[in-house]
Amino acid sequence: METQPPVLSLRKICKSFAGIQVLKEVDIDLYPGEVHCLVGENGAGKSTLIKIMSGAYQPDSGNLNYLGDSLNNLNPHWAREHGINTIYQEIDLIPTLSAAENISLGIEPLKPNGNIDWPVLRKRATKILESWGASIDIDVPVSNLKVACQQMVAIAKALSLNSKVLILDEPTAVFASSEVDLLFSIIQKLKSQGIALLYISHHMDEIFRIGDRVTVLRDGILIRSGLVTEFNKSSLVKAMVGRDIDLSQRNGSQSFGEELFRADGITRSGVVENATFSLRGGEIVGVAGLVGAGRTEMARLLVGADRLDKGSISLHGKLIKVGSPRDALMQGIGMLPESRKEEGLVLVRSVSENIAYSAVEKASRFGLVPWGKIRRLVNDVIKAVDIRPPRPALQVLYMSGGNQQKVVLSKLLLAGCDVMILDEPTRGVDVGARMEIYKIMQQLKNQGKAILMISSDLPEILTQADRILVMAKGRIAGELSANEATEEKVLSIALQLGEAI
Amino acid sequence: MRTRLSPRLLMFAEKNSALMALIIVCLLGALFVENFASSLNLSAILFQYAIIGFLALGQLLVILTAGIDLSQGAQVAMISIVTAVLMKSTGIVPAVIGGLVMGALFGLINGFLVSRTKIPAFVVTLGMLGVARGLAQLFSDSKPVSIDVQSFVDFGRSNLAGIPVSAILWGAASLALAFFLGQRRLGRHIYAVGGSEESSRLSGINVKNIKLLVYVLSGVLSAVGGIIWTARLSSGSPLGGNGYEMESIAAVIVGGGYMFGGIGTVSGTVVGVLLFGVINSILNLLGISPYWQGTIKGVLILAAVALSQFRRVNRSR
Repeated sequence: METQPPVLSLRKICKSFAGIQVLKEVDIDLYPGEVHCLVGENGAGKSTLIKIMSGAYQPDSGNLNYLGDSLNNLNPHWAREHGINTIYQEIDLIPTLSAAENISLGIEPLKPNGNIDWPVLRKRATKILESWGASIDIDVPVSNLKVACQQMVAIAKALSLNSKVLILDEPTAVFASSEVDLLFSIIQKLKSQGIALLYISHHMDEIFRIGDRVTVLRDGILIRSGLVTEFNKSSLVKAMVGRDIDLSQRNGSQSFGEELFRADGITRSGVVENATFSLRGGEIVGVAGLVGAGRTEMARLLVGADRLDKGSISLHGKLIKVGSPRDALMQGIGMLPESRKEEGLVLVRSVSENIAYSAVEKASRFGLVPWGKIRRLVNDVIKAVDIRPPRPALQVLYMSGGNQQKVVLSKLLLAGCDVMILDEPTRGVDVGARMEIYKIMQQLKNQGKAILMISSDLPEILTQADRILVMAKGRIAGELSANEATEEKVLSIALQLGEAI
Repeated sequence: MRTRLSPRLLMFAEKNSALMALIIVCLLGALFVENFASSLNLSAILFQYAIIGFLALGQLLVILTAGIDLSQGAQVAMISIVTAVLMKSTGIVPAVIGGLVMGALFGLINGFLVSRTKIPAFVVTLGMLGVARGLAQLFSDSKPVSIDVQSFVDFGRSNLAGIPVSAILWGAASLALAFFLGQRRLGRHIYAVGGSEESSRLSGINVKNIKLLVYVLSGVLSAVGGIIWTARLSSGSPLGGNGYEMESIAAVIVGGGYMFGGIGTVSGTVVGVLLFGVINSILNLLGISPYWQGTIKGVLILAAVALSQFRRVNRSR
């Protein structure tokens, strides 16, 4: 492999935004037929680096060399046309167009008279997706497809051109494990076709499973680069974080308070069937299951984001009615939604405003908002949760994923919730911030809050939860205590029902 | 199956709800309103609403990119003045060309500001509304400019097989636009830009130029509408086209267009225009006061949009 020249190589790349240097003299080489993993905490500069490779940003200084030619003023159009394709973390499809159209967007096949050749366009989509064994309706708007299917469409879109470089920015963040296998088999195929892949992921397992080479960035500086075989998990994490971290650290206290929250026969037809469970104070209950098992849908029912068909919810032993998420929050049930950018945060507003949204109402007296008091509360929470940078006036837009997640958590904290429903709290969050989120969860636990944590990351559920509910096909298919639970047991419950029907 | 089928069914119903409404309103009109179904009246509806129709086609393009063009009505006024003045001093051909160029120029400025600055389309075109209306008044001294070129005036009133020529032109333009949006790459990219600007940009689509293009086309189509309007009145007027942008926006939305871009069709827009034409005619025939007419049309627009919004929300929940 070493003998082949790199397809794309970057030398001494520097980039800063508003005076903050995001990348400092970074070098990276992508070789044909190789999976090059790019790792680093959020804010390490990975996203900026790939945006430079794909032409979305221009570097302040440094060289890009592609197939032996030096590139100046690379733009996304040129990059895509010449075989450098990027799958961004936020799926960049046109939601209102079909999968078939998205896949050929910008490179639609034309008939000799210049009109779009629809049969060829559809065939192109079918051919790629079928060769992967993925069954996806290519004619409906992609917004009607599941997120994992959308991701597949995004990859197919990248490959519809003669790709030489494929950049995958955390592709598995939204995948269930079976879908991860499918993705990896796709990646193997691409490797054998001589495509150079750049793979960004926070999952150590994935890097050691499919990576050939790895580059570690920290604070915009290249820390280490080499073959994956030169690393092991702990040395890689250490390089990323700059300190030792024990990911398998088991959570402590097993003393629980009284039953705080109870859901009885929660049902929304076709989505969630007869879900019954309770949460005790100081308890973290994990909800595992495949994508589409109804976990998020259940969470939405619990906070009144969707209407219940049947079932009841009680808090502190009293039956309550939850008409809306606001209603839930006022009564002490808070949710950290799955897509924080769409549902959890107002991106263009400041950190303090985002945190204070839910608290303002509770703190208001006679319709007046006590801003001084709120500012103090917000500052305390920012410190307690360690939001970085600790600037209350910063627009949330400019923060890393982990810190955005902390802002949402702070919001729930300040609203004084006793019951917290966390939907994928560490999705798209780097190792360091992940540890901090776990720490915050432990603090909440020690304060006697009840936490329901939905997660697709099994190791996370196994280490963090005191009890695990496994969902399949909209039902709670099984329950395991932390001591008896293993990955195999959880998966077999999640799959069993899934295959029986 | 449920999740697969229902969006399609809903989309079908949604696409056709304006058509259903049009058919029902026409039936009611034919049954209960005297003179409604007469060929004279139907031809008058087409005569009047072909002008709004041209504007609506332009508005559709702009709305597809998640924009809006509030300056259309004012453009009609300025274009009618320019056309009338040129008609007096030169002749038909330079006058028509002048009108079209005027519209393209308005569109170019709108499009440039929307695509190259961060000023929202609402503000840009609201500003242009004031500018165009003001210019029309300046150039005409706030007085109508009459036209004595008989062939131009005749053209404005001519029929072909009982159908107004302006309506035939509108039909042809609608077909051409539907073909452009459905079969040409550029047309599909207009949908893409409205669906997601950032994704379009990352896919290598020139978002800025597409936005520029739709405003220019909106200006040119407004010019066509404005020239026909001028011929019909055989004069240019600084007060012409007042409120036309509201009707064109309403026609697009009632026809299934989505204010936030990416969704909308030519056929829906055409149906929307006809629906407003028919309702307008019925209200006139019933002798309802113009003040009430405005109110009734406003309520209809709100109801239609609320209905489509309700469907959309239901679909996503």
